[in-house]
Amino acid sequence: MPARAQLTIDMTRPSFEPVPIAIVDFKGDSVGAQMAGVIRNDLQNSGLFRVIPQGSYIQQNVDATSPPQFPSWRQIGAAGLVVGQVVQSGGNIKVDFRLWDVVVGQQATGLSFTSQPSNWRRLAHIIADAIYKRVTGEEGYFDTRVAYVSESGPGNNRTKRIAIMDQDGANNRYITDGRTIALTPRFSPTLQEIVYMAYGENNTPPRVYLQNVDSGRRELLGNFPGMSFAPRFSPDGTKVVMSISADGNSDLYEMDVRGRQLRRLTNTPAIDTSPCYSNDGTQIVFNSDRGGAQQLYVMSSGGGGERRISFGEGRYATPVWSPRGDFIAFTKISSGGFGIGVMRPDGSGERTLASGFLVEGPTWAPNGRVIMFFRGQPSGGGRAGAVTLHQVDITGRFERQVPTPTDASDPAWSPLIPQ
Amino acid sequence: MAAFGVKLLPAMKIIPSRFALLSALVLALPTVAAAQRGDSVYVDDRLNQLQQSLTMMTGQIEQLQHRNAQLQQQLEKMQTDYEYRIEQLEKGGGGAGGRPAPRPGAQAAAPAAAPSAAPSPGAAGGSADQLYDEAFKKLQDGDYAGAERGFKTFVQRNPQNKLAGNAQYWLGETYYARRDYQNAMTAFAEGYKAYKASPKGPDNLLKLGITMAALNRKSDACAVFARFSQDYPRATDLQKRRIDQERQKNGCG
Repeated sequence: MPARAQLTIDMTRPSFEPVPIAIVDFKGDSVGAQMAGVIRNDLQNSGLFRVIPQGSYIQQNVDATSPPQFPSWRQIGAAGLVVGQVVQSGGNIKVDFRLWDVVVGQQATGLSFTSQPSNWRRLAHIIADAIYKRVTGEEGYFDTRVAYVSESGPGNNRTKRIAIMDQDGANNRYITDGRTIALTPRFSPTLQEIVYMAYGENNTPPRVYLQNVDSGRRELLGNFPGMSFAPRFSPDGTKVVMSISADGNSDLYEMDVRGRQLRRLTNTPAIDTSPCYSNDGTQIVFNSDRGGAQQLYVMSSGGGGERRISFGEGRYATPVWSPRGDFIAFTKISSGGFGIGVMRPDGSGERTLASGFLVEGPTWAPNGRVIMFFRGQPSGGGRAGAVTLHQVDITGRFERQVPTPTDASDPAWSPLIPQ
Repeated sequence: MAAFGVKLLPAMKIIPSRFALLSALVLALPTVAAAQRGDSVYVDDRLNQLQQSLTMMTGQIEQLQHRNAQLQQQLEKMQTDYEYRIEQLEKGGGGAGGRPAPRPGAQAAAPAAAPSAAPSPGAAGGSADQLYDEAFKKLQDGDYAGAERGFKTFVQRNPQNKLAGNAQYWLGETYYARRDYQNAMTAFAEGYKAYKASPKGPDNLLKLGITMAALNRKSDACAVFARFSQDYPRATDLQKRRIDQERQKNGCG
């Protein structure tokens, strides 16, 4: 137990102790205990908090509105205490919560809101985000979703369909039916919309669809023969950027989502692929083999001004620009295997966050502090190797598996859900 | 020529269209020979070879550019470091290690430092010197925005200090390092106006000219370089040589 725990944390420092926090079951309604469970799970899984087990709480029956007995919480080493209550009113639930700073003996933050009872999980995530923000000074990422490719079946006849779930694995559902292969879901940074690529029956060329996650409304963005990754959105959601191959090489194009106008951005005899916009939309990072091996390049989002930023051993793939703008995450393939790494947009400060037999496809949480990716195991005897989703914080210190009902690959993290 | 054009056309069709322009330039000789033989396979093969060597060369150029940029950065960092050390020696504050020893009592006095009375050089100038050293440390660490703030504050508070000319010069360098040539030019020009006789005067004028050249104001830059020998007849050989180089580079008469 740290001698003087505090209710703040600077997660950019090379070493920090997780903040010890106690979370009491919310009172008033049976859903209160479930909400506290979701909050505990979110905070513990972030790696920044150490949730103190309920069995060690000394003060029982903590009132949701008046100050707790601070000494008894200090005694068990808590820096923070979360209390709350849920009240049914006219078909809705009203939720109050408070975060007490146990160290100084004051309220640190509190919220109160009313919503439909079915929204209880979201309310719990929103509370977890408020706690995260108060303690770290950064926006949270718990009230978000993840789209991914759900995989099942034998290695030579794999069913791949698009699924979506809450960030913690709850509320899993399928967007495509699995009759044809669907790949590379990408979230819009502004709306709860995804694009993905799906092959037609009998392996006809892939089509790219745009689908609203809440309404289920789906439209065809276009037919793109020779495409291997779905497009990625610009930060304002009005454009997408993609690579299209022809004549044995592939170039980058941008498309206006409304007008469906296609504009060519690169024109080289090399393979230019997996483009991704910078957080401010002014630049694009992509990979290209124009220099002999696949490396990362940055150019102006209108095309031009290309410069290489990666110079390490091996090949670099699937670059994704952090929503904060400070890092670019990528997959690196070298003789030692695969790695998920980050570097600054000028190519400096490269480091590896995770490595293994197969690790690929990084995607950023909207606060730019956590990355999700997938791990694959070797396949054997006609069986496909298991693929699983994982998340790791930007320091690379805290990695954990994200539970999914089936094998899962190629995750895409949503922005915060609009409240 | 017309017959040759007709023969070349079928060969061109199998060339990836985007490579056509390049091939027209690079391949003029071999394609002429091959096209006259009607040997499109040969052209194709040759193109592939050329494309491969172009790719290899692109990779090598990128690596060299990268290495070059790294070396330049190292060099600039070393230069800044040396200049700082020399400066400390000139100030007489540095010991054998080149780092100034912290002045006794400086930390305790720091928060309430009264800038009004221009600190006299020497023992009493603790807080001003400290401010300068901190700004310089930031510059060395590459924290240009922090260094900019530090040097600006220093000059505002201590316009008469013997290090004010140096601070003004380094303020210009914080912009120059970030390629903010407009602000760099203003800072160097201010340095020339206000601290012409400072030990950094010659460097300041040289950098003013270089910044103007970077802003494509060649004739202004040349005028600045021309003033150098009048203003600083006793500049070091290195500085004089640098001026000559810059005059040549910018085509000054």
